[in-house]
Amino acid sequence: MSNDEQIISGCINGEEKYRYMLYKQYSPILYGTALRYTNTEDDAQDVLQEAFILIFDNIKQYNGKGKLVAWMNKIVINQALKLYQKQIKNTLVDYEEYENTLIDNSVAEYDWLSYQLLLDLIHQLPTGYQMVFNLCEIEGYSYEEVAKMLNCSLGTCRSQLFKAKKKLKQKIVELQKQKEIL
Amino acid sequence: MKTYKDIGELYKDKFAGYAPTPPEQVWNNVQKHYKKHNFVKTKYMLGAIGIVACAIIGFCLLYTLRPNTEKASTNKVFVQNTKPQLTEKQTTEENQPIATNMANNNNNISHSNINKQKAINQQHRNDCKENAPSQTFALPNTPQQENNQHVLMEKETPHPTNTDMAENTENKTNTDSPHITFSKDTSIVEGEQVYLFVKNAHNILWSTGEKTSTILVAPTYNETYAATFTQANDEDTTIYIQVNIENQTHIFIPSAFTPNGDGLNDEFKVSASETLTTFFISIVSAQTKQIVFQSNDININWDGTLKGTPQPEGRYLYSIQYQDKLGKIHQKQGDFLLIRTY
Repeated sequence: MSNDEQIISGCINGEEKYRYMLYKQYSPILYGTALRYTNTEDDAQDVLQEAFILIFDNIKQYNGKGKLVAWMNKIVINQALKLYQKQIKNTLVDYEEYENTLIDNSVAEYDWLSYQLLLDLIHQLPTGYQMVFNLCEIEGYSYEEVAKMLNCSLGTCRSQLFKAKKKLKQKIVELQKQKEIL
Repeated sequence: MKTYKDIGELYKDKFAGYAPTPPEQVWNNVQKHYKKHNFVKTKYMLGAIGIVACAIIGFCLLYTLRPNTEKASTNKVFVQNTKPQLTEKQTTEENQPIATNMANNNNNISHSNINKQKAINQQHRNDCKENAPSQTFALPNTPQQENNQHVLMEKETPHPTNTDMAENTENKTNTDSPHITFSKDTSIVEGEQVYLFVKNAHNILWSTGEKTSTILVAPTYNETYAATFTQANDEDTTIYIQVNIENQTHIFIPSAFTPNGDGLNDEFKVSASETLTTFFISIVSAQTKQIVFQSNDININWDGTLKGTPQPEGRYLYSIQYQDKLGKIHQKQGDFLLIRTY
């Protein structure tokens, strides 16, 4: 029995010791996800807390296929999408044929690009863009999967992703310019 | 320095190993959830009983206190009235403040009362769902103050036949016929609409050709509207209502600032294209939710410190409330970045 399996069976039996082991092991990485999908640390903590309760309640349903962390990650994401449902709907209403795909989205890894700043930048995006960007780019879901998750069309999903990238790049370039001036 | 072809890749790389430890509180809450679980049922029961008990007590209190407050207000309002018993029923909680003010006006007309009167007019406009303030007609020699008073009377008393009320506020007027009231001169922002009205008049004809007592206008430049109507004594009269166009107030809020003392963007400076009547700004840190700055003067800007301590780089949220020249209240919320460069 591997470590994970032991922890899982312990959690299924409702033993607090194993719950804590699971939490201890995976909460940081899941918190990282939650922070990306929410706008404030408070919201991220709420999402994480609710997600862990769901994880413990439903861990029986984890079928061993795929990594445990991926399964839990999805629960965290779903929880965040649920929390921001309204905002997502409001920011994803417009459908546009996606713009020039050859647009230059290259960016240098400046030393001042801290986690906090990068997070702040995605928090500043409209909620819909933020979710699409996270799901497509960082989690690596396909457009089809994302469109299904966010309940929008493929075109909307694609156009929002391009807009999100454009905005992010603009912000970074702007900030770099400011740094150069100062 | 590595250059990424796509900003998405940069994010993916950066956040691949991102695993910050969540605060202990999260685990405590999860733990609490499971400990609570057993007590939930009893707790809900207790909660339900508590709510029912509160509701009962609340109702009892409400019913015992209510008659007292009503009596008290009636005394206050009609302190000068010689026949208080006639008007008692009219004083509902809603028109209490207005009625109180009318009593004040009877005593003396002072400057402070003018302000109050304005406030009432404001409230009144909301009540009537009309944008334009009103004037009273057929009282050429009465000062503005009393005019307003009279309008209030008409609006607040659905049955103008109650002459006792009218006598109490205005002795000199003829109370047999309802008074003709019409919109005051007003100002709007271009693109907005405003209702103009003439009440209690016959055969109204507006300069726009309309014949209704209320018209909706949306002028693009300063304009005077005329309305001709027949008075009670069968005389035709024309009144003029001026609608002025004011510039829209634009507020500029920066998206970032750099408090490093180099004279460039050292302060978070909000500016307005027009003079504002009132202004209030509150800045909160997005991380700690702590209020870092508050001001009611648009010329006092945040320098990035709290009690002399420089605040960390990051995202901050602002909430701005202001009143433009036309007295309209606006609210803006958003965020900006504090960037530290040395």
